[in-house]
Order: sequence, then structure tokens, then C-alpha cells
Amino acid sequence: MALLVDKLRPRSLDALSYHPELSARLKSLAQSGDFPHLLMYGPSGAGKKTRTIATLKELYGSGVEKIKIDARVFQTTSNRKLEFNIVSSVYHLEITPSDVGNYDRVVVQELLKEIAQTQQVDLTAKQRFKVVVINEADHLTRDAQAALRRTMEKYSPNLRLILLANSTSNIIAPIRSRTLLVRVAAPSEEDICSVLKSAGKKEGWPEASGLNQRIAKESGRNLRRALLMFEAIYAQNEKVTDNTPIPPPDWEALIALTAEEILAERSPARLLQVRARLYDLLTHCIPPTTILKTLTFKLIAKVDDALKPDVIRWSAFYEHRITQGSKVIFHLEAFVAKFMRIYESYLMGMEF
Amino acid sequence: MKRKHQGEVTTTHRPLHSFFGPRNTEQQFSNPHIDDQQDRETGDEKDGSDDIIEDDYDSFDEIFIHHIVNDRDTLQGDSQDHSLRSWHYKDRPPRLPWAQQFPPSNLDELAVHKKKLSDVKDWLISAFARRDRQLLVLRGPAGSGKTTTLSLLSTTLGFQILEWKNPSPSEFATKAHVSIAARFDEFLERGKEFRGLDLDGETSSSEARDTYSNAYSSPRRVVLIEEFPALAGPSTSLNSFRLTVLRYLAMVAQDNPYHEPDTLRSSPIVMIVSETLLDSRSFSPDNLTAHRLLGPELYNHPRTSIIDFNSIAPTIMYKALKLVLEKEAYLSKHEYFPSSAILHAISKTGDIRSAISSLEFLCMNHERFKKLACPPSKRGLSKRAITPLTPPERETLEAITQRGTSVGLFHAIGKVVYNKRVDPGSTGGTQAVLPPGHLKHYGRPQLSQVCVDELVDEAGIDNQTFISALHENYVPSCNSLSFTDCLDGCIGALSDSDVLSSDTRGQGRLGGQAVGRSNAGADSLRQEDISYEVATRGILFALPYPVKRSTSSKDCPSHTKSAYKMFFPASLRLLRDMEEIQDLIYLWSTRLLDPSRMSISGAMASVGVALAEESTRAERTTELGNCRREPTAAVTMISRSDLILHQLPYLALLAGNPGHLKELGKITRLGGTESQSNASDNEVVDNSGELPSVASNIRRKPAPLENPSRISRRRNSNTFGPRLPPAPEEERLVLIDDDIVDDY
Repeated sequence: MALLVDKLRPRSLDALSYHPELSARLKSLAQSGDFPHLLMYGPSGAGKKTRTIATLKELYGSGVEKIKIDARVFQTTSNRKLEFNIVSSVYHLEITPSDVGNYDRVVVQELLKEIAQTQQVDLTAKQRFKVVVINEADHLTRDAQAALRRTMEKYSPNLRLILLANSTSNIIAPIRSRTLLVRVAAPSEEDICSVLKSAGKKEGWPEASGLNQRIAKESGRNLRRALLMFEAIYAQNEKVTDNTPIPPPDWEALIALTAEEILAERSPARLLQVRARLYDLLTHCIPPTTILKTLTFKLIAKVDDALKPDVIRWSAFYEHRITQGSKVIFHLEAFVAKFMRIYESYLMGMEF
Repeated sequence: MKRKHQGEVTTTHRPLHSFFGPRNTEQQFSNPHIDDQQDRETGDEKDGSDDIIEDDYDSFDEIFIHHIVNDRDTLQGDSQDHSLRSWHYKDRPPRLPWAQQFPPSNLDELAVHKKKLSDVKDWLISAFARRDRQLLVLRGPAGSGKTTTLSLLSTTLGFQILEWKNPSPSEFATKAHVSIAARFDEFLERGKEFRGLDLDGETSSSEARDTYSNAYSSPRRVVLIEEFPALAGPSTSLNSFRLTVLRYLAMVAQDNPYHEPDTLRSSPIVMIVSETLLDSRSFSPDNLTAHRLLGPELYNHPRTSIIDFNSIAPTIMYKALKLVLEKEAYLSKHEYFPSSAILHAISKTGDIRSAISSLEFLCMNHERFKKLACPPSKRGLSKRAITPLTPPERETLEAITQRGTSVGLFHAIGKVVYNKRVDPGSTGGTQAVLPPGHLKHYGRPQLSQVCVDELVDEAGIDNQTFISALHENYVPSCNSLSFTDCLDGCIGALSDSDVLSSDTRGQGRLGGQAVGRSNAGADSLRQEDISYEVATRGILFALPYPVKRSTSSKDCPSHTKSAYKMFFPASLRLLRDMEEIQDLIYLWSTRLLDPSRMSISGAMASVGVALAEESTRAERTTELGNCRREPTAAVTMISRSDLILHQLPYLALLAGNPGHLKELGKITRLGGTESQSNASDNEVVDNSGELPSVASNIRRKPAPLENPSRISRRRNSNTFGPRLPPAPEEERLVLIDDDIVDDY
């Protein structure tokens, strides 16, 4: 069940369809032989990973595509066993340390040390160094980031890092200063449309340009999402027209519904109902900040302009608290209560 | 080889006997005559009772216990009095704890909710009827009657229980060392070959004979795992345990064609896991839950079903306790018995084993009780109204039942959410200090009567759980004109308290506070206290006075009763669900990464689905093979949030395999936990109209909107596999089955 997203992923820098300038830069960077540590950042679905893989291929040739996948087990100080997946080729290694939560420092330290202490095995390799790709670098804990910093200094002859992040704001300054920052912007809607068009052509699906545009808009300029939507629509419908409905993911539909409920009625009972929905979202592992953000935007779209600054302010306030505290539901619910209060007093003012 | 097994495989075989006639044990022993044709259903009331004691017991104790079980089966006879008198056996073991001495003798006496019982029964019947192996997990708090249910059902349904016993440490020393995991493996593989020690097969029950033509067919049996081999060894053995069970479940599909179905009836596995959700400690990593034991793959296996037991409701418990007292009364001829008020108080614990033992303890010095003309049964029935406890009784009770903390918790919560304040008129001495004019809205003229410092002692539970419970219950109290202010104030205080707490359980990522945590100790204790004070006082401050709890809203006027219910924090229960889904997501992320691994587990799953699916499976495996042959797209990891937010929801729309669909559905489909809201379930569903897209997930066609009736129908049918319907889940939240009405 290879998805379109994986199947059609371009594998070389030349095949990338948008941001040609960036591709050219990466290409010359890879060919120069003096490859720095990279920090690729940009919104999700913009093509950070695709560009990384293509760059690796440019660096080492097709050898990087011979991938093997291991599950490594790490033991923490409290004797907990952590299983951890590693994707690696002879030349590179890809890890997602944030998968192990607060223990990421252990993983980063041990693994990187182990890799960096050995030299490139393959003598015919084009580069002397190996590359470690770290996913979700902005979710690393401070400790892990500090550990990373030391590793970058110490082992730089044998090791290059490519960090992938959604934004640089969570990455500590020492790391930012040691890396080359590469911003991968989200594709424009036209870019997405053209990608969808070529994907449709390859699969032999009838084209509906109106639909493509709607998908591009709906996806929030997230190419991964656009492709998934595209495939889902074609898989589910016999006949695809410009007006075929695009199914949103359940979590998003649920948040939209919640927003409508909040606007429709404000009462203790409604708050309980909203709480049930929030619990539902949380148990399905939807990140709380995503919930808050989506909910805020859904609410804002429907309230009066005068209220918007206040709503945004409290949303930001509780978003911060979510990252500080541990009982996420309190803060989400507090935002809902706050919104109810703001909205109610606004309506009261209107009535008089 | 065989000898070794006898040590581990204890076949508890309980013959189904019939009854009646005050026969004493000598007769039974001397005259073990067998009556094959005796049928219980036809009411063939022959005198020849056939209690046969199998001789595969290690100790006399066991014989005795067993014996009593058998004897007590004779109690089901026509008249209760008559049978009770038959208790006077000479060789009755002198002293056994009551919990063992008076177990329930039949299903009617069993203190488990009838519906739960029939769930288990139905499952067993269907499992025996099917060819493939099934796994049932019974989970629930300790003392909720899980094991007793199974053993009683074994007599009614007529099956044997084959129980896994962990080998004792001394065996390690004497024998050539075989790892426990290996032994367990062997046990499961070869367990079916053991017949137990019934010599002529005469004991198979009447019902068994209905299904099988001849009495000599192999009796049905159930593999019971109550001790887990995984726990005895290092943590890697957990994996091998899971693998063994998984293999056992997958094996039968290939096994069956070669054997005659009758001789090799698959024996279902029943696991019994005691798990409790009472406090936050239950989520420490070394606590055993069904999910942690089984792992995501086994837990979501199509042939695994899980039945949750609740702690026993007071009314049922009361009856059971009375029964025990009756039996004891006929036995010991004591005339002093605790009053029904005490029984009521004890029966609130929810744990029947501990309730019976505290009852026994109470009756030790029975001279303290009033002399009753008759055992409390008749009295209790005639006077339903609860008589108040007498002072000495209360004293004794307090000494014994301190452990029933849950009630204390609810009382403490009740005090907070009802926000009792001093009436402005009646205050004599103390007068509230009011803030200056510009802060007038912070003034609370009535003083609070709640003593915040003592509450947490009364609750008898850790601060964080207490705060969660407050959060669960404060909302209905905010029912006044300015409810938005109340709500905002309360939840604001809770939010503050959470930030102040030192709880590290959550995902405190990227927090500057990580530094402060290392030197925890006294600091964290103080932080906990501060957090508790902020939450409690904040809520007391923000709640209106007087409190009128209500949960009705404009468009769904719910019944007022639920407003008085106190709820146990749902977040703790949901944490478990969350853990399950997290594991499942992890499973999928590795699967997506590694298609070859997926084909293995995919094959497992498809074995589980059905044999009828054979053709499609073949098709799919070739397809998978193709995938592997051609070097597919560059393999890479997907970041977790992308996976959850985008990839998996759409993958769920695309997945073809029903096994996968089920797992993906579990991750991505929402709308399952509504039943925990206070308002009655149907109303919530009806007026909210649920998610249109959820429906389209299943239907595989664009169904933009569905009418509510269809939705609610689907809600009932959407439970995948033999899961429980949502109703019992709602029950599970309410700790005490009867309403806790707090009248502060």
C-alpha cells in the first residue's frame, strides 16, 4: 500500500518541482565538498525531508537508498527499556529522538558518539563524513540540545548533522549558530496544483482542475496533506468532479463541531460536553497545541472583529501554559471557559 | 518430560454434581457411584449424588476447600433451611478465612452483576463453538469476583480449567534450568494433550453432552493464566510471552484440518488481570495493566476480547455479605451479629474479599453486638431503611474499614463543590474582611465553612488525584446567573494550580523547570501543597453561593439526578486509552517504515480475520511481495505529528485490509468517549449530530450528512469485534454504583 506521497517522492535534486533556487543552492553545496551542518526548517509538508534525501543522494550517490531499519534498545538510568527505530544506510542515519520523550538526551549522546567515533567504512565513498539526520529537532529537550552541541564540536571531522524542524524558535542559540539555516517555504497553491496534476497523470486519473485548486486551498499549503487528500478522494469516488467533497480528518471535523457548539450555547452543561470532546481528541494523541490552535482559528472565523484580539491573547496564554503544565485538559478547558466569558459579555453588551 | 509437566499443570477439575439429600461425607467417599445419564435439566432428582474428588491435589487443604465447594453445591437444593442444616460435617476444616470458607456456591449467589456474568458466559459458549482460538481478558479491581466467576462457570458450563502456575524458585535449583518463557511456551503447546486425571470421563456435564454425542469426547477446557510468567523474569521475557500467546492464537487455523475437530477442540485462553484505576499511582510504569501485559498487537488482535469487571456494587455486596453471615450462623450457632447498618457500611468498599474478611474480623468479638433474635437476613429484609450505627459499632468500623478511601474522596470533593458558607445573619464573632471599594467584585461577604487544610486528610488520596477529581466535578456547581465568571474563575484556578505543581508525569518538554526538578525532595512536596491550596481555595472563591448543581442546558434538559452524582476523574481512565493508542501509533510508524515487518503482522492479522478471506489474503501478500521487490520510494521517517494528523487519517480511508482498518480506525476515529459526559448518552448524540465524516469512513462513500437515527444505530453497532457496548463504560466511571448523594 504504497501511498502516492511515498511513491511519487522525488529522489534527486533535479526532480524537485518547486523552489528551484533552493534546489540549485543545495546542489552546489553538496558538490562543494565542504558540507556544513544544516538546519532545515519550514512548515510541515513543505518538502524538508524530500530535499534532505535528495541532498544526501547528491552527496553519496545512489548508495544512500539502500536502507536498513533497526530497532535499537536503550536502557535508561531508571532501568526502563526504550525501543527506538533507526533508519540507516552505509552513509547516513536517520533518527527521531523525540519519540522517546524525556530520555532523548541518552539516545542523542550514546548514538551520536558511537557513530562519530568510527570513520567512514566505505573507502570509495565520496565524502569522509557520515550524516545524521535528526527529525523533529525542535521537539528535543534542552538537555538533548546541549548534548548535541558538544557532539557537533567534538566530532565534526567524522560527522555532519542535518536537523529538521518546523521552526527555529525552540532550538537553542548555540545550535543555531553552528548550523547553516535553510528555510524551506511551503509551496504555493499553484505549485501544489501542478504537483497534483502530474500525479494524476501518472496514475491515469481523470483530471479535475477545480478540485485540485480546492485541495490546494484546503490543505493549507501542506503538500503531503494535499497528496493524501487527492489519493483518498480518488480511492473513494468512482467519478471525480470539481465539486467532490473533500473529507477532512476526523479530528479536524470534531474540532470544527466543537467550535460551533461553543458558539451556539454557553452553559456549564455545554462546557462538560466540550470537555468530553477535548478528552476524545487528547486520547487520540492529537497534540494539545494543535487542538488549541485549530480551535482558536475555527472560533475566530465566526466572531466579531472586536473580540479577535482578546481571543488570540488568551489562546496564546493557555498555549504557553500547556507547555508548562502537565494536565493539558485544564488549560484547554480554561481557554474554552475564557472564550465563553468573553463572548457572553460581548453578547450582553450587544443586547443593551 | 511428562512428569515435569504434572508439576506445573494443575488440572482443577470440578465435576458437575447434583445435589440433594443430606448425605454425609463418608457415604460420599465410600460410594462413588457414577450415574452417567443423570441430567440436570430434566430434573432427575435421584438420590445418588456423585461427588467425586479427583486425586490430583497436592495438599489436604485443597481437598478440603474443594470438598466444601462440592458440599455446598448440594445446598442448591429445594429448601434453603434444609440444606443449611447439612453443614454439620464432621470433617469440616476447623478454621478457614470466611472468604474461602463460604464462597458462592452457584451463579445466583455470585456477587457479580448479572449482565457481566452473561457476557462472560456468552463469550465462553461462543468460544467453545468456534474453531479458532480465542483470548479473553477479564480485568477489574481486586476482589470483584473475576476468578470466582470463571470457576463457577466451569461447573455450570462443564469445562475444565487448566491453569498455568509459575514454577517455584526451588524448582530452579533442582532441575536443569529451563527458562520460564520456554516452559510457558511448552505449556501452551502441549497443554491440550493433557487429559486431566479424570479416569473414565464420567464427569462431563449435561450441557457438554448436549453438544457432543458421546460422553467420552474430550471435555472442553479453558487455559487460565492468572500468574503471568512474564513478571517472574527480566523484561525481555515479556516479549516472548506475548509472542507465545500470539502464536497460540494464530496456530489453530492451520491445525484444524489435520485433526478431528472433536479431539482437538481449541481451548480458549482466559487471562485474569487485576487492575485498578483508583489513583494516579496506577499509572506508574511498573503497574500491570492488561494493555501493558499484552502489548498493542495482541491487545488489538481480532480474537482478543476484553471484559471489564467493576468493583461490586453495594447492594449486591450487601446480599452477598448477608449470605455469608447466614451460612456462618448455621455453622457456629452464634447469636450475636452485626447490624445491617454495619453491613451497609462494609459493603461500600467494593472489594468483596476484603469486605468478607473485615466482616469476619468484626465478628471476632461478637459480644459487642446486640443479640438478635434471628440472623440479620430477615431483619434486614423487613427493614430496608438503614438504621444508624451505634457508637461502639462506629468505633469498630472505623478501626477496620479505614481503607475504603473512595468514599472519603467523594465527601471531600462534595464539600468543595457545594461551597458551604456561613449565613450572613447568623455569624456572631467573625466578620469577613471586605476589600476596598475598587476591588469590590472580589468581596465575599460570607465566610467559607470548608476547612481546606483538613480536606486532603479526609480524602485520603494524593493531591493530584484530588485536583483531578475537583476538575471532574466542579462544573455543575457553576450554575448561576454569572456562570461564565464562575467557570472561568474555577478552571483558571485549576490551570494555575497545574502550572504550580511539580508533576513530572506529563510531557514537560522543553521546560526551563526541568532544571529545578532534579533537586526535588522537600521542594516538590511544598509545590504539591501549593498546587492543592490554589486549586481548592480558587474553586471555593469562584463558586457562587448558594450552589445549585444542575447540568441542564437549553436544548437538552437532562434529569436533575445526575447533577448530584460525583464522578471519579475521567482523565485517569483516559490515560490508559491514550497509552493504548500511543502504542498503536508506534506500531504503525514502524510498520510504515518497514513494509516487510508489516507483511508478517499483516499475515497474522489476516489469519485472524477469517478463513473465508483466504483468496484476498493471497492476493495481498503477492502485492506486498511486489512492493518489496521493486525498490520503492526512499524509506524515511515521518514525524509523529504528521503521522497522527495527516497520514494515518487518510491511510484509514485507503486501507484495504479489515484488520488494519480496525487498528487505524481505533487511532483516527473519534467520538467514542462521549458516554462519559454527565448528560445522558442518547441526548448528547441526538442533538450534536455526531461527525458526518466518521460515517463516511466506514461506508466508503461520501456521505456528507446522516440523519440522527442512523447515526445512533451505527453507534450501537460500530463496536468492532466482541467489545463491550458503551453503556458499561459509563458505569465504570461511577465508582460507587449507587448514587453518592451528598447533602452538604
